[in-house]
Amino acid sequence: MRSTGVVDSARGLGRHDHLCWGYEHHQDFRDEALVFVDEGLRQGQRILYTGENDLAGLRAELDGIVGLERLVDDGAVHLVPLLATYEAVHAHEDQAQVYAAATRDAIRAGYTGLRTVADATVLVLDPTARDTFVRYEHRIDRLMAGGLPFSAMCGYDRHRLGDAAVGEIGCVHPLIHDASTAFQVHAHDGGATLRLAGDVDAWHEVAVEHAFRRTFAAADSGRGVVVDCADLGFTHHRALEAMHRAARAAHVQVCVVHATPTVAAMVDLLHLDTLRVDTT
Amino acid sequence: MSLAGTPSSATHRALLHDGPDDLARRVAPELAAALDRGEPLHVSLTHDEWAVLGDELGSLTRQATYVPANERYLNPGRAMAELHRFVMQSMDAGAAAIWSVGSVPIDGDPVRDARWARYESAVDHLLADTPFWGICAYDRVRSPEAVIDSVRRCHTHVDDPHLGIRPCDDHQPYDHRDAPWPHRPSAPHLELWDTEPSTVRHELTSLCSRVLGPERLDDLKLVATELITNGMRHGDRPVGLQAWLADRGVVIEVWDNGPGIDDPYADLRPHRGGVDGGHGMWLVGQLSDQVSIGREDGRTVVTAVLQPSV
Repeated sequence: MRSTGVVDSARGLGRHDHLCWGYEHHQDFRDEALVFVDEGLRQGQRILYTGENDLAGLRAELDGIVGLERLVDDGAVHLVPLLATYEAVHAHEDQAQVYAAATRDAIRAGYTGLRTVADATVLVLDPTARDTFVRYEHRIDRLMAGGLPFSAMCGYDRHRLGDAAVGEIGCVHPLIHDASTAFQVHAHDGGATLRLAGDVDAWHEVAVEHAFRRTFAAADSGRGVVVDCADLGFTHHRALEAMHRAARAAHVQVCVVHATPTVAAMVDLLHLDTLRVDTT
Repeated sequence: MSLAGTPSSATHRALLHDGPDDLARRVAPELAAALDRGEPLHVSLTHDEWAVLGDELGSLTRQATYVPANERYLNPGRAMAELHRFVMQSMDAGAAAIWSVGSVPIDGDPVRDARWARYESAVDHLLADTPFWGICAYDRVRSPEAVIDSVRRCHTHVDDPHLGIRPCDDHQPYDHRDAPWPHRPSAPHLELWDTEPSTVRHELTSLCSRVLGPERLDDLKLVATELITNGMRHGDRPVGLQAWLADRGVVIEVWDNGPGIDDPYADLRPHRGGVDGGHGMWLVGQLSDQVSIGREDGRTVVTAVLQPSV
């Protein structure tokens, strides 16, 4: 069972958890990353730690992990400068498969899975690159939800990116740290379902449409998308219209499950014919 | 006076009758003639009223569209959506005249009855440019005097058993200020100004969860959010919400300092198609038991009433 919602600590997360940590000060991110890494090691996971720093800088960021030198030498901790790790992200969308392969390597090497920490701020400064990266974030989220023993903590600098950009990325994570997004659209139930969570107001219309377009794009061609609203607190009608537009653009039919009667009434009254509310 | 012929604009008649037999006797001839001419007829009467009228019309009843009054008149929004759909579909099919006969549910509660006065004004307003022949049946004996007074003002014509069919001398649209609002003298149970909709929803949940079930509470939160969002986007701050727990549900008023809502029947104006937003007021009308839009003290106010079941 994956954890979802808003957290104030990276402590206590499992082998499939996916956390977005928007931060004001890098030190805050680093402190929580140490907790995340330390617990991963205790769970027998291999660690892949990446960021903008060079090798020496990354090593310094993990100062505090007991026996770091030995762990690096043994292959339990991989330190990889960011641009080397994500070299392929902008060229194709199969970066997720790189992590999937790395996770299988870790399993073959006797670890319980792979846990990564990545401050990817520099990769998403440009809006076009950010669009690609959010799609990639969802792809790895589907792998995690699908049972791959892969967990991740993704760091984003709010000063450099702005709250809106951090929210744009954070909303496709099942776990978020800050209030940069009021809603989430994340993989669920083995990766086959999307879960829409939180509150979606009128002014989230553009953001939620982006989120739907990016996540619907990962759906298998010709198959429907299931959107689970069990954790949805509220949705404005504009968000449902945004879902409809995204579904139409992706040529998919959406089955909405666990929706309230009010959501079902809106779908019916607004004639959103790409959406079908399952009330069973 | 006869109203026979094809109107270039709507004719909206209040028919004051003395019971189902009187109603049937007075409307059957012209409805039978209309059906004979192949003109579409929509009927929303009570079971008793339709039983008698159906006998008068005989086999012609098969050409009529009948929706029982207790299913059609759940609230003004649903009632208008059904009527508008029928009129538009009939016009698309080339009908030169479109007929409707209905009896809205009058139960003597001045607040609930007032919503139908507004509905009747909206029919006048929204179907004005259509070839619509509307006959609104009101039982003179069972309808309170205030209702009879109001129906004389919100129809183009009145059919009185003694005076026959006459244009309304005192034709006046519904006015928000004339509506009976018994909640007004008392202080609101909740008052919030320039508050985020998420906080408003939280506060409404705390206040109303013992009055409304979970489904209607969700409807209330949507209605409140749509109104506050409209106020914030199209009005001027401060945008305020007041809520009262009333005998039969919850009353909310949403205020803003903007220039006002151009369309006094925005909640009843039918869905205009498209999926690019702007359907908030229409949803408010569909989900509320009663809505009123007006200006008071230089401010815009929208009142919505939600009862435990729509």
